[in-house]
Amino acid sequence: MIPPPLSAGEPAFDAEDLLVRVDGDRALLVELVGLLRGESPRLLSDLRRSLAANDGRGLQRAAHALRGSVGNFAARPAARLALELEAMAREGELAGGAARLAELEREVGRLERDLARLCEEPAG
Amino acid sequence: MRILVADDDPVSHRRLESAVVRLGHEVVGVADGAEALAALLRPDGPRLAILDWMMPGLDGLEVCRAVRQRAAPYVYVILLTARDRREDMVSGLDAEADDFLTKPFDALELRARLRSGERVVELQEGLLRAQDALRVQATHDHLTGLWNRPMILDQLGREVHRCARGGGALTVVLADLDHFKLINDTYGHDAGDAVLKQAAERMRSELRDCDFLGRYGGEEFLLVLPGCDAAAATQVAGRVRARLAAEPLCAGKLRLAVSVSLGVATTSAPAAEPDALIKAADCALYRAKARGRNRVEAVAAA
Repeated sequence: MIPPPLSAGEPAFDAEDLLVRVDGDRALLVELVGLLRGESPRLLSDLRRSLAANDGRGLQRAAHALRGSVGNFAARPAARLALELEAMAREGELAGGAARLAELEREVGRLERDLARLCEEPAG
Repeated sequence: MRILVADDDPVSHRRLESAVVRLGHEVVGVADGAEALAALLRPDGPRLAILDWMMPGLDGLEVCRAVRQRAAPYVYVILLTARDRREDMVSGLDAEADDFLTKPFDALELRARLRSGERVVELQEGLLRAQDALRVQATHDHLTGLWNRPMILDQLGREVHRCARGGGALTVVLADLDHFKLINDTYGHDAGDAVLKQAAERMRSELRDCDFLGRYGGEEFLLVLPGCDAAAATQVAGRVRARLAAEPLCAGKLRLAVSVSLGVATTSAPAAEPDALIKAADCALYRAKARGRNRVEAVAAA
């Protein structure tokens, strides 16, 4: 059974905060979204690999890195899931890790789709 | 100012870089700790660094510790961290980081923290400049820019020591401007000062980079010529004499013919004591004055 996503109902990112973070610079935003899309597959696969290998340190490091990355977009649900995974890895409690990782992957996918949509919106 | 930004996450790196540039700074961007350290240790490296705590290879703490091994110039380090636990803060301070910036950073906070950093960097640069100026003042003659008396004696002591250990010859020359008192009395001290300055420049121009030239007293100069035997030293002294006498020196609109008398004393290992060398050069100088000035006399020191 798949648990309901924690982020149900909550937007993938806080649009207002996000615009403050890029200082209203849409070109910068587009560039950052491109960088995230380039970077996230590697980070997610690091997470999967660390979890499969029961590598708590590796998992903690990758979750931390992903949290840092999505944090730039005021993406609270994704950041929260990454933080939870990071905490689980630190405590060595990897039992619920796979479910949490699956959620995180879905959430990052949603974040990237919504960000792409925002980038395509006409400015103004 | 130039600011180093070190972050392995491309998204965070780009956003930080963009914000720092927006604040009017120049960014030196690197993606890991080893690169950061190399950039910071360069002589003209950035004096302010924003280091991500977690980086592959060397992390921010390790870079900070390594940079602190060097005494000067100081690098102001801001650690970038998503960690907000107390023990993390303590280990950051233990590594001698100056400040922290929490990820994801806030632009206003970044600006404020960079300002504190800039203030500290500027303060230290001012202190270093003052220290350099004091060092020059303490070791050089104010008028001529040559080594002052304590420093030229210091150099002589070192060269005597080197000569005693390593063998080879060492020459000391005392050079005294002829009738200098007359110039001062007739044309005033400004003219006297101008003569001293130009005489010093002319002497310097006849010496090698490895020679030492200092102002020993009023119009008396001490030359220390490492590796110079009696024959070579007499030649050098002869060139100095000729260079001074070749054409008049300028003092304002005045053209003053000035000459110099030189006493040369050479020693070889085991070297004579500095005092004995100077005394011998002084005897030779006395003889040059007695025999009509504008000439070189040499003696061999024990």
